Amino acid sequence: MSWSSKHQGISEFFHNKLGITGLAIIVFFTFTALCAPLLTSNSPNQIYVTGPWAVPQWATAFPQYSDLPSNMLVTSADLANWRITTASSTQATPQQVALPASALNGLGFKFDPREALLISSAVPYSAKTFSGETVASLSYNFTYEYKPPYDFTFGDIIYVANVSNVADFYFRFILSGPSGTYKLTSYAIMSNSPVEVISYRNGIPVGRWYDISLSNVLPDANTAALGPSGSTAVDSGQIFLAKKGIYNYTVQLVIIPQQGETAFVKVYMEPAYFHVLGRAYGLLGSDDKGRDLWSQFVYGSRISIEVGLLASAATVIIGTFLGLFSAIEGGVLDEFWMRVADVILVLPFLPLAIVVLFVFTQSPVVQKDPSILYIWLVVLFSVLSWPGLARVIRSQALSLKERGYVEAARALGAGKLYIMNKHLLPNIMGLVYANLALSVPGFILTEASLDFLFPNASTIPTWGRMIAKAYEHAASATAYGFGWWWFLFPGLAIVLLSLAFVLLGYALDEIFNPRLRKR
Amino acid sequence: MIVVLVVVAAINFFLFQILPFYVLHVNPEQWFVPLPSGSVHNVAYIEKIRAQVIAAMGFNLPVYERFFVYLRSMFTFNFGYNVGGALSGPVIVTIERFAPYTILLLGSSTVAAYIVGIYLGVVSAAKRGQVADVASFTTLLFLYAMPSFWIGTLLLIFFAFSMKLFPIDAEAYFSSFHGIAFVGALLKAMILPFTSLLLVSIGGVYLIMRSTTIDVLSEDYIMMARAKGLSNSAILYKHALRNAILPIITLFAISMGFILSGAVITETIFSWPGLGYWTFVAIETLDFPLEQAIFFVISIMVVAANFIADLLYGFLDPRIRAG
Repeated sequence: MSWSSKHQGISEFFHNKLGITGLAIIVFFTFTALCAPLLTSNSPNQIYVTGPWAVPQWATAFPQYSDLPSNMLVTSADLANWRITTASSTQATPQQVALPASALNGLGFKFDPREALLISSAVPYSAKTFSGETVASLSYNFTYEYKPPYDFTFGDIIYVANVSNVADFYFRFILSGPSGTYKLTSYAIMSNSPVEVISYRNGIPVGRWYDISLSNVLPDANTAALGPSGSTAVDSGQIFLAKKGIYNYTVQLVIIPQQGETAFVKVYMEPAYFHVLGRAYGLLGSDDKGRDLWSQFVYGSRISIEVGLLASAATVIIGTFLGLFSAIEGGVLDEFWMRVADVILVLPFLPLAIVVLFVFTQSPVVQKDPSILYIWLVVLFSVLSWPGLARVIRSQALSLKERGYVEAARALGAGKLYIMNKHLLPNIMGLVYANLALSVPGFILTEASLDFLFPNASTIPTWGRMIAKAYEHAASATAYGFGWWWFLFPGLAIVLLSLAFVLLGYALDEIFNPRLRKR
Repeated sequence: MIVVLVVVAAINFFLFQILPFYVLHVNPEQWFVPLPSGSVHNVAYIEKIRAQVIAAMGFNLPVYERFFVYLRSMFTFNFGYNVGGALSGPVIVTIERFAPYTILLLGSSTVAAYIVGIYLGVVSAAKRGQVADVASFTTLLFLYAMPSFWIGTLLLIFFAFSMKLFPIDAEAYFSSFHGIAFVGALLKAMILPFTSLLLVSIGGVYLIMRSTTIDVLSEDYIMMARAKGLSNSAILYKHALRNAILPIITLFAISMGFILSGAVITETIFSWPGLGYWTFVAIETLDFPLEQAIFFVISIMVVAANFIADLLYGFLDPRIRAG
């Protein structure tokens, strides 16, 4: 193809509206695939980024979703906003402390308190203190104006400075409001297994920060140490925050002295937090475990684009080469490759892909590194799909071979490779480009179908897998309603991307096939 | 043709008799004739029976001898027995039992898709560039790009889960009926998978029909017919359609060959007990003899269909017969 005709082809393409639309969609999804880490800060498999079954944030514009809560961190770093009550045996003074970064690792959100309450208490043993005395309590009022959430997390960060003569001491978390008063849990510091041992007083490691992060859902190590009456009911947010109104969140420090002794405790307490896991989140909401669906969507575009483009490129390269080669070579090799093509064309594509995929998912190599699976899929797709193209290319090349200029070249002593390169290839490039685009949708759809059939083959997020999971839950978890945001958008993305490649392919076809042009 | 079949059978052999065991590091005889677990009283006797079964199934032979045994049994339709627990009995009986469901569903939906697709394609081509053409082109292109599992699940969620108009599990639904009521229940359960398949396959037919008709309409003999003063419909249906329909007929014959491979995804979603559904269940339950037999039967069908397509093409297109 000469430069001028190439130039003309490009300008023609830019006049083809459908082709441009297709190209724009492809560019968009290529962009999301390449820039996935920039477009989302959440890892696609991180659970409880928000509450489960969160609708997309923009869906709150619709009346039925208008008062769903977003992620909501209820706290104040300023101790002046807290009501502090202490027993007579106790002194509580606000102090400035530097919190180590490690103390904030466990939290799924940014929480940066500056001030802590220094509590020093001396509680003598008596019949009353046998079951513990509340020596200090911090309470905070907040307004909750939304529908009840499914889940929430809560907790506090404390520093144990000194402990002696204590049978046990624990933190009690209480939520009270229009829906009633609920003891969320009691968190006993003494039964917390020490992570780093600094020095022991009375069996408790002192001089270290304790990150009490609790939740009604998280599979947290701390939940093993849940207090005697902590509630771990599923979706307990629906009960505790059932009504709109003003709620009071209280943390109490409870001390039980050893028999006949006077207990001394000195701890720093940060302002506690209460984190409502939202029911409206991000661009695409969340799934049944509060994973960010936008993140899954963005990372899912990678697999679709990758498998679609690689498989189609490989198919076109193999198909073009073998088609041209057979046409030029003729004879036994031609016969051989065309019979191979016949055999492959007889094989049922999807069932074969299912079998191979299944066998590979069972193999230890793939189980170790599931991303290999998609490379194998590309190989399988291209091995199964080249024959169609090879036949077309071969027949095209056979007719080109008989043209005068090719014969002239041959008469001048041009080699087979030279003729193939200089005379045949440029003439079938249009066919090749169009096929490159037109074969992509098939691969994207097949890959998505395989992920749909084997959603548990790996944990790599893909569009097909998203739809499969959404469908799985549509069939079972009816209490949450149908997660349309989970089901619709990956499907639409597959449709759009496939459509884009079809449009692009048609545009190329129209440019290179003058017969198809409008009169 | 026979060569193609033998090669396909060889690939089949590799796929099910070698590949899984190679990848999973299992001995095939251990898989097909597992050792009884738990407390076994007469170990020696069971071992003896097991050795007999393995010998009867040919697993004590070297691979190449097994291959010839396999070839012979494949071409005599002796497919062995189901393993894996989902089904039991001879594989050939399983196939005979479930193939009609696939043929019913796929046959009817393919025929319907071709009829509607051809009609829309011809009309679209005749009205090229007009509103009707643009509208149908866009809609069908959209359908063409839709994943079949998405359409299927969408239909199922709306019409079966929420509106409860159709059964969720087709097989469980119609197998509880007998006699005339069974036919009614079968047809009712078929509506959703039928619609889903129709929507999925109509796009491809339409697009090809439209482009070939556009091609044919630009031929000289059409202009000649127009110059003679023939009506548009006479040109379209008497002159253009006869030529434009040729590639579609070939395609139709070939797709009839793939009819037995069923629509794995659609049948699985709607629990339609055809061979496509069993292709999926067989692989999940590692029922390799069934899978192997399904593949082989599909291959025979496809080879036969290709042959028929060639004959048909020659019969319909006098240019090829002469040449």
